[in-house]
Order: sequence, then structure tokens, then C-alpha cells
Amino acid sequence: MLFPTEMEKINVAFLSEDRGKVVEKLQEQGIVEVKEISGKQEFLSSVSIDTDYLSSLFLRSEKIYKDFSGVMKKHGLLETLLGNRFEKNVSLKKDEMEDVVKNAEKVVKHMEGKTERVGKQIEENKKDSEEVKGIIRLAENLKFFDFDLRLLSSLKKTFALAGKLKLNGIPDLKKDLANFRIYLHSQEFKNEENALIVLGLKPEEGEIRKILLKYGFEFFEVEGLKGKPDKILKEGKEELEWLNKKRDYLLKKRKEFIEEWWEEIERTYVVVRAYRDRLKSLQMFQETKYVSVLEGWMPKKYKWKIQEALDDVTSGRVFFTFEETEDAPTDLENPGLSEKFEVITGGFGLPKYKDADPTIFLAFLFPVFFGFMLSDVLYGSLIILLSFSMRFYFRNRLAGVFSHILLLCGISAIFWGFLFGNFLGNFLGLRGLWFSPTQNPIMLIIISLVFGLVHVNMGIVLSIVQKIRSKKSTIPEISWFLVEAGGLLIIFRIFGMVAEVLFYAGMLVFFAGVVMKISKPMRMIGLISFFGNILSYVRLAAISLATSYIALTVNHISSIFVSGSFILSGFIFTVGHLFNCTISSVGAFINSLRLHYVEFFSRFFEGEGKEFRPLKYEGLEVK
Amino acid sequence: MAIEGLLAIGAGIAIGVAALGSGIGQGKAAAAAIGATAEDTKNFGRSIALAALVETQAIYGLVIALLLILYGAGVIAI
Repeated sequence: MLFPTEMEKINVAFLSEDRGKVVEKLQEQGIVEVKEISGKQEFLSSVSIDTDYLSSLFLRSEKIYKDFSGVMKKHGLLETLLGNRFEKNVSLKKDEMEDVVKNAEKVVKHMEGKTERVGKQIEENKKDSEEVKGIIRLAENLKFFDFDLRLLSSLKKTFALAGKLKLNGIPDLKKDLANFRIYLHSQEFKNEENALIVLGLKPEEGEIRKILLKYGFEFFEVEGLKGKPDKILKEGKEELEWLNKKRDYLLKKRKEFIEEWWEEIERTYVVVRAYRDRLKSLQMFQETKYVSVLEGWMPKKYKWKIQEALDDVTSGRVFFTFEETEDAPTDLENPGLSEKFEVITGGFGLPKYKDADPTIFLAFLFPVFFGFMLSDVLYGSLIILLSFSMRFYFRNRLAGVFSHILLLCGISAIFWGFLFGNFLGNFLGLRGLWFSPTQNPIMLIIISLVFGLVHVNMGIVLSIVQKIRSKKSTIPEISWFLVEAGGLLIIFRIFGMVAEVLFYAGMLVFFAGVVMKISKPMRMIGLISFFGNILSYVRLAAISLATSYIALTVNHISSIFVSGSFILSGFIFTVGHLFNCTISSVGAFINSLRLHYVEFFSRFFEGEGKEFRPLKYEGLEVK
Repeated sequence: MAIEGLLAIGAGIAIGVAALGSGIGQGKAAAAAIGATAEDTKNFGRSIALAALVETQAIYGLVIALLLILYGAGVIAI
């Protein structure tokens, strides 16, 4: 709870003939992370399939699976943030798995062939459409010329150019081209631009092109076009319509095919991935002709479970050793709802195996801070409503986690809302159980600073615990307490709350702490940032006040219109409060996150732990 | 001009300038943070922390503004 799950390094020796069964059992149990053992690698797989082949099969099936996912799964904003709506594991019997792997090649090949064919047709269609669109654009530029564009084809002694030019350049251009034997025809069409046709003699073409370029002449590629622009335009539009219809048909056909085969490819992909993972772990074993050894990490509490399982699968021909070391991977373990907050801790990084896991504190104080900043009964209720909607709409793990976090945040906002008397600001005119923040902001700031003091000190205590565990010096942390205790005594004396002798004692303790701090230059910087960190908690009061004031303003503005137009007043009221609830919730969430990440975590958290990744069936339920 | 008016102007300047500076800084930090998160989503936590770091200056401005207003209202004495 306060520290990650206790892990042990496990070494298992068994007969090489049992390795397939052993690795399969490990995957079934899903509690051991197999570690690489350097040295000779020689193995046989339990399904007699070559590893390279399986890896390539996995990559091929993954490509198809991802392509199909793009069609099968929604990719809206909500899905991007919270994952796919329905997340369920592929369910299979153990003996069916081997059949899936054996058929995988056939399935993947069939789908590759089919998707490649349709994909190619869609690609060709796209290319043709682009070409036709280009011709349509060209014909639109030239539609004012009523002649066959074949006339613009260059001949043996003459050339023809078509293009467009800014209107204001025409007179000067005409002057520059006056000495050439040309025919120039211009037609104004749009945005002060002119479509231009230039006919001239072949030997002068180079010079004329240079002059045209000088005036920013934009050439049209008309070579190969036949017929009048109007006709080309009409035919182009018809062809584009036909191509669009063909594209729709191809996409529909592709979707139907994907829907038909989706379950098959999902099953194949998940099973091939499981076998690939198994074989990758198998490669990490140290092997001789008769004996194999595996090394890995596992939670200490499952020791008996793994011993029993491997004893069973090898008929007792197995030998175990367990060892406690400090370089184990991190597996967070928190009780009840606090487990949901592991995702927030993980957002910053994982603690190292021997370091403290702050999730349990975060699970309590994150909602407290959020609620303090939002502090409105009705806004809190809206957050709870959002939490339930999220749970109802999404059936995946991530959405489940966030809906729980929001639920606690909403309850906290309601709690603080009752204390401060905020029900859509002052709309209901009810008094709070404690005090009103808008009438007593100083009190709000004091509470925020007390939160800060407690929170930062919790971080220091965790740092001390962590250092005692790893047998490091705790002097830097203890000096904080001296500075704080001395500082508090000095402040109390200023307000006449303690005797004079305690003031001198406070001074002594304060300066002892400061001397311990400034004994190293870096600690001096820490001393300044320490006070900055505590002051930073004023944001709790600032955001809480801002939420209350915006709510008051919305109520006030809507009340101005209530006698004139009830609908307008209601509209301002609804939109205003929804807006306030949204921005204040986002602000409260981000700032609560920040207070934990910056002010709290910076006291003890390094976040350089490596995640515990046991060999298991991912997305697969084996019966 | 009455002292209350000057205090209100002072409070406005205190929070206004602090928020302006903080806003400019946070804009730059947030842009870099988004870039870092786009490169690797594991950077999200640290990016938020770094982007939000600049906000503290605005909080200092707010504290000064509140102190001035409360002094003007006679709630506190300096």
C-alpha cells in the first residue's frame, strides 16, 4: 500500500523436455515476468512453430487487425481520450488455441489477398479522382473560351500557351510582347485574374515564356485535352460522379468483408500474440540438452501458487530458489477505490521498487483539492452525473477508472459546497454550514496554506521513510522540520500567542535548520522553493473564489433579464453555469494534478521505476 | 483620488501584469509540453507539471492584489 508489492527474484530449474509446458503454465498464471538470461539459447517450442515465422505472422496479423480496427471501432474525441466503448476479451478453450495458430497462416493470407485487392482498387480510384478533379479545375479556368482545346496543341512551327495572370499586369505584358509575332487573347474570370492564351512562333517560345514568368504567369497543362472546355467540364463532372459511386461501392464492399471476418482476425491476432509472447519468454531461458533454467520476477505473495502450479505441470521435477533484491520491477498495489488513482501516479512515472507509492495519499487528497476548488453542490452533482454517464456509455477499463475518480471528486465538491453554501453560487440563497468564501476570502487562503503545509510535509515524511528504508541520510528532510517549527514559534510570538522564551527557542531552532540547509548550495535553493511551494497552494483559494464569483456573476446577469425575457434569462443562466462548471472543473482537475506532481511528488518521488510486466494472456480469456 | 481607488488600480495592475507574464510563459511551456507528449505519452505527467510551473507567478500577483483589496476594505492592517 505505502510501498509497491513485495517482489522476489525467482530461479526455476526443470527438465528441458518440460519447457513448453512450463512456459504455458507461466502464461496461464500471469504472475511471473521472465527475465533474459544471457548465454546459449537453444529451444524447441511447444507448438513446433519457428519463432521468426511466428513473429512475422504476428506482425502481418497485427497490420490487418489495425486496419480492420480503423473500420470497426469508432474514433471520435471521446474514444481517443477514453478508448473503445466496448472492450472485451477473446474467449477460447485451451485446445482451440492451437487450432487458431495452425490456421493463422491461412486466415492471414486470405485476408491479405482480399484487402490488398480492394485496397489497390480504392487507391486507383483515388488517383483517378484526383486526375479528373485536376482536369475539371483546368476546364473551369478555361470555360470562357469557346473553342476546341486541341487547337492549343503545339505544332511544328507554332506553339500555344494557356494560363492565368493578374489583371494589372496585362498592359505591361502586352508592351513587353509587342516585338514578338504573337496572338494574345485574354478573358477576365475571377479574383481580378485573367485567363490568357498565347500563340506564337516556335523559335520565340523560350523568350516569350521568360517574359510571361516575369509577370507571374501561371501555366495550365492543356496538352492532350480534346473538345471545348464546357464539354470537358461536363464530362469531367460525370466521370467524377461515377468514380465517387465506385469508391462508395468499394468502401461498402470492404466494410462488409471486414465485418464478416472481424471476429476471426481478432481471434487470430490475439492468439498469435499470446504464442509470440510465450516464445519470446522461452528464448530467455538458459538451456542445456537436459536442463533448463528460467529467471524472473514475481510478487512474493504468489510464491506458493507458482510452486504448486509448476510442481503439477512437471510432476515434481522442478527446483526453485527465491531471492530478495532491490532492482525488482514495480507493481503498484492499493486497496479499494484508491487503486483507481494509480493511473494518476503512473501519469508522472512509476516509483522505484524500494520507493514509496504515493497513490493512497493521492486518492484522498486529489478529490479533496478538486472539491475545494469547485465547491458547489450542483456542480458536484453534475460531475457525478458525468461519472455515471461515462460508466454507462463506455465499458472499458480506462473509462471505469476515470468514472470512479470523477465520482469521488463530485462527492467532494458537494461536501465543500455544503460547507461554503454554494448552490449554483448564491442562487438558492442558502447559508453554508461553515462560512462563505466570497465574504471571508482570508479564511479560504489560510485553509489553502494549511493544506499546503500538511501536503508538503507529508511529502517530506515519505521522503524520510524512503531514505530510512534505503539507509540514506535524512538530515536534509529533518532540517525542514526545524525551519518550520522555529518559524511557527516566531510567528506565534509576533501575534503574542507564546511566551518570549519560546521566541528565542524558535529563533535558535529556525537558524539551526537554516544552517543545515545552507551547508550545501543546492539545499539553499531548496529552502527558497520550499516557501514557494507552500504559497502555491493559494491557487486552491484562488480557483475556489473564481468559481464562486463567476457563478454570482451569472446569477446577477440572468436576474437583470428575468423581468424582460424569461427565456433569455433562463438561457444565460443555463449556459453560464454550464460554462462555469466546465472550465472550473477542468481548472480544478489540472491544478489538483499539478499540486500533487510538482509540490508533493518533488519532495520524494523520482518516478524511475520499471513496470512489472508478467507473461500473461493479453486480451484473451482461456477456459 | 481616494485611497480605495488607488488600491483598486494597484490590485488590478498586480494581478494583470503577473497574469500577463505568466500567460506568455505558460503559452510557451504548454506548446513545448504538447510537443513532448505527442512524441511520447509517457511525458504527460512531467509535461503538465512543467507547463503548470509558470502559473505560480500569477498566484503571487493574486496574493498581492487580494492583500491590497483587503487592506482597502479595512479587513487587514499593513
